Amino acid sequence: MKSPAKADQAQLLRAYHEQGDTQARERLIEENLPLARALAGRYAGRGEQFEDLVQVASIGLIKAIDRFDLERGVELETYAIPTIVGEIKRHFRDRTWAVHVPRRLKELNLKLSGLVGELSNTLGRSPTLAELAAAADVDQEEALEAIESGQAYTADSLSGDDDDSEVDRMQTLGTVEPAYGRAEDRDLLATGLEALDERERRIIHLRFFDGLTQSQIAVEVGISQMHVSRLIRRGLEKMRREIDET
Amino acid sequence: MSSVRLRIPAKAEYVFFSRLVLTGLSRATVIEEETLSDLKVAVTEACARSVRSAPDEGGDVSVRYDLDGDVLTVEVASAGSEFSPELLELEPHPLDEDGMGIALVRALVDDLELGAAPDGRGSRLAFSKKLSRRSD
Repeated sequence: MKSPAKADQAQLLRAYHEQGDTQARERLIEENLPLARALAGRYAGRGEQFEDLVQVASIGLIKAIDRFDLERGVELETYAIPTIVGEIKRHFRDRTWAVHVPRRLKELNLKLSGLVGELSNTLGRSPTLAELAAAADVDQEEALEAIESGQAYTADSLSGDDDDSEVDRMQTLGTVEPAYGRAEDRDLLATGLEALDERERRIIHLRFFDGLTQSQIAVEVGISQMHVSRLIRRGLEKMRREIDET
Repeated sequence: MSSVRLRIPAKAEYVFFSRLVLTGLSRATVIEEETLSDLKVAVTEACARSVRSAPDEGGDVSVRYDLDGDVLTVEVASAGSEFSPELLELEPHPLDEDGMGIALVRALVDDLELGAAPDGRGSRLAFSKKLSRRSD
């Protein structure tokens, strides 16, 4: 980051505040824009576009320059950082933070659920967290939080007669309300998944986590739909046994 | 008082774990969204600085979260280089990545301490923030 010399800044501030030199003000703004951009970058990827945040941060910068008190004896930057951050936070307060958190996560979860399907199709495999987050234009952490809040799969949901049905379970993902506090269930599920071999695990994953139908899995894995059906049945049976033993 | 400890490799891709712990804590105790956001940005800056200053062989970053009443203290310690005297000033200069990071943390938390790591090798950054504003 190009940092203008201290003396220059002080001179420009004086020229602006004492003589009303608007060119000095413009130079101050221009020279400190990298600071505004850098701070905006710290808040990007939370459902807000970087460029929007830069705008907001620039408003904060201008406020800092306009309100700067020559008598206070601090650097412009020292004063500008909290002012810019304050402006960015105000932006979030008006928008993101005003939305009820569980609801926001639920909406994001629904969006991600859809994207998992789309990306799986285009990539030919399950997307990574990074790919998923990029597609949803959120950061990985937020994506992870949303996925976690929506993972309400229980051992019970494996006991259904799924082997021949083509019902898209994806529709239930993210709409199941009691999302929190199911950690024990997820642990059980993880235990069950450990009993599977790699191919079974992949198929179970495609079926229940990615919401693919048996026919889609057949294409994906390169085996017949009948075979997929048998493997799902066998996999679920193994998982049930493993979980019962736990 | 409850404590959570996290130890991550000093690599950029692990920094987000430091934020996830805060998300986890926000489910165990009430943390307003705005406060949570401040804490996340602050811990990210602290860890990112540890990663930037990590020794060539890598090393770890230790993050410790202590919740005492409604005050959360976060301590980030790593084998990375110590803070330069300029950074310890209230007005860090030059305002490079480290300088801006620390100024940003300062703007977001109630209390900030910079110093050497407890074992004398590396740096330690600790900040605390009150989680609610009701009882002032």
